[in-house]
This record gives sequence, C-alpha cells and structure tokens, in this order.
Amino acid sequence: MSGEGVFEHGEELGPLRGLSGLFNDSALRSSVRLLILISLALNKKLSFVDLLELTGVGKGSLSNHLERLSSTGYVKTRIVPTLSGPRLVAEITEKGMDTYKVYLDLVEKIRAAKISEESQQGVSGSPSKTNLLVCPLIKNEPLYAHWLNAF
Amino acid sequence: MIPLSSEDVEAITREIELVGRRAIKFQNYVLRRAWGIYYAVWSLAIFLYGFVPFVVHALAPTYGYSALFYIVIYAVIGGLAGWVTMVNFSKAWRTIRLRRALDYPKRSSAAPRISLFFAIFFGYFASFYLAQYFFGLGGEALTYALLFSVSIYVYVWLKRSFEKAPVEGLLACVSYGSASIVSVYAVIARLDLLITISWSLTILVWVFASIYALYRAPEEMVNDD
Repeated sequence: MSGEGVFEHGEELGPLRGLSGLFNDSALRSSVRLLILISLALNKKLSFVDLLELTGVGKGSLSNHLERLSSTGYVKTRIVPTLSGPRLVAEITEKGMDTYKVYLDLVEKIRAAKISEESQQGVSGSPSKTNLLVCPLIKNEPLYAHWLNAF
Repeated sequence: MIPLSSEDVEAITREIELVGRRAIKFQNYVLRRAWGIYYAVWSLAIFLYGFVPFVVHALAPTYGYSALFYIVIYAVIGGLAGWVTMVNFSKAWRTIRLRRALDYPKRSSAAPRISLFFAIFFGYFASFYLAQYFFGLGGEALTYALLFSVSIYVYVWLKRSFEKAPVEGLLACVSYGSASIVSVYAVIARLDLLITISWSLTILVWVFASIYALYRAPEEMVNDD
C-alpha cells in the first residue's frame, strides 16, 4: 500500500519524516530523555531538582539521562553557585532546540491528521482507523523498524 | 525490518503525545512559580517607582533634584522588571505553542518580541513625563488611564499561561486595574493621597500574590495524569 490518500492535505510522509529525524538518534529513544528535552526547550534551562520533579526518576538515573543527552549535544550542564550551595543546571543547546522544533512539527501534524480523520469519520460514519494515518507508510519504511524498542 | 502493527504505531504516537502532555503539566508548576517571581519583581518595581524620590530626598538630598539621576534609576528598575517580564512571557508563549500543537494545531499566536516590548515600555515612561510637562493634569490622568491596559495585557497572558487563571493572578490584575482607574479620578480631583493609597494597596496585593503563587505552585504537580 502506498502513502497516497493517507494524508489528505498534501502532507504525505510529513509526520514520518519528523519521526525519522527524532528517533534516528538513539539518545532520544527514551520517553524520559524526550521529556527532558521538551521541558528544557520550553524553559531554556532547569535545575537538577526541577528535572527530578519533572521525570520522577532517581538521582542516579537522571544523571545518566543527562549525561547521554549532554554527550550527544542536545543539552549542556554546568554548576552554578546559589545561596543554598552549588547546583547543577541543564541548558538546551541549539541542536536540542532544532530537535524540539522537529518534535513540535510532528505533534502538530499527528494532531491535525487525527482531527482530519475524525471529521471524515463523522461524515462517513465509518469505524475509527487512526492507525491508518501513519501505519501503511511506516510498514514500507525500514528506517522506523527500531522504534519498537524506543519506548 | 520489523513489521509494525497498527497497534504499535498507535502506541508510539500516543507515547509522543503523552510525553508532551506530561511536559505541559510540569509547565503549570514552572509557570505559576515564574508568575510568582513576576509579581514579586513588579511589586518591588512599583514601590521603587513610587517611593524612590522620597527615599532619595531623605537619604541623599544632593541627588534629590537631578533628572538624570532619576532617569538612570528608573531605567535600571524598568529594565530589570522588563527582563523578568520578557522571560516569563516567553516561557508562557512556548508553552502555549506546545499546548496548541497537542490540541489545536491550526491556531497560532505571535511570539512576544523583546524589542517591541521595551519600545512600548520605555515609550510609556517617556510619554508619562512628556504628557505631564505639556498637558499638565490632563496628561497625567491620560497616562494613568493607559496603565489600565497593562492589567488587561497581564490578564491576557495569564489566561494564555494557564487553562484557568489562578486566583492570585486575577487579584493582581483587578488591584492594578483598580489603582489605575482610581488614579485617574485622584489626579482630576487632586487627591494625591488617594494615588499613594491605591498603589500601596496594589503593592501589598502583588506581594501577597507572589507569596501565594510560590506557595501553591507545587500543587500543580499533584493529580498528575
């Protein structure tokens, strides 16, 4: 099955290319790391304590996630002096912001496609087939095979 | 190649959305805290704008009549408060973009621009003194009337930041708007004390709003979905 007709507004493969951009890097194949990236993109920088609150993971686990994101250039960390002692702060990098934009674009397209499908479904009364939005294209795209392990 | 079932794909897309929604949930906490700092900074700024001349006259009478001294002081206060405002509104705007992407992908809003913000900000203060100089009390009343628009602007950004505007934010907007309207009347009626009282009350309300917002912010993290 080809992608034709799946996206009704000339956006064939659009969301999929976004997914490709996001998950090509194994550093982002983790919900926690993706969450950290998104929150840093929204706030530019967050303290280690904030990130603990955000993710709900332990200190060691968070350190590992930050190390992974830092080594791949999505974030950078530094120690800043505060009144209550030195604190670790994570900041988003330009590469991280670019990746976030890909994510944002992807979410918009997924949502728009769902809304489009829901409105068509309302007209035709056919059963819900949200998966048809992306599934036929993914099946023809080997690049996405590793996604299953991402989450 | 691993064949993906439609359920797999739906799970991935759902996960992508869920991560975004989790980030939005956290933003409610971050933004409420940021608004708390915003109220604190502006209550201090309003206090300094209103009371710096009295303090200066009392502590350093030689600087008490220097226009340049006041321009520098007010520019520093306004610059710092304006910077906090810009950081706050920028965070809010980025959050709005993500929230809309998750729920209303067709809607968009203009990003706050720092140059425009400072142009309006300093333009206003310049007009404040020019209006008084050229148009006397009428000009002063007009500039206070213009301040009412600030409360509307703050309210709009508050509504954008949260799905439901927090109570301390509404209090802050109402107190500021009321003070600006009362000031218009006080200028016309030449009741200077009324201006002092109304803005002092506004400062107190904003201090309370700041403390309340910072105290309540962690609650935004409760009932996480």
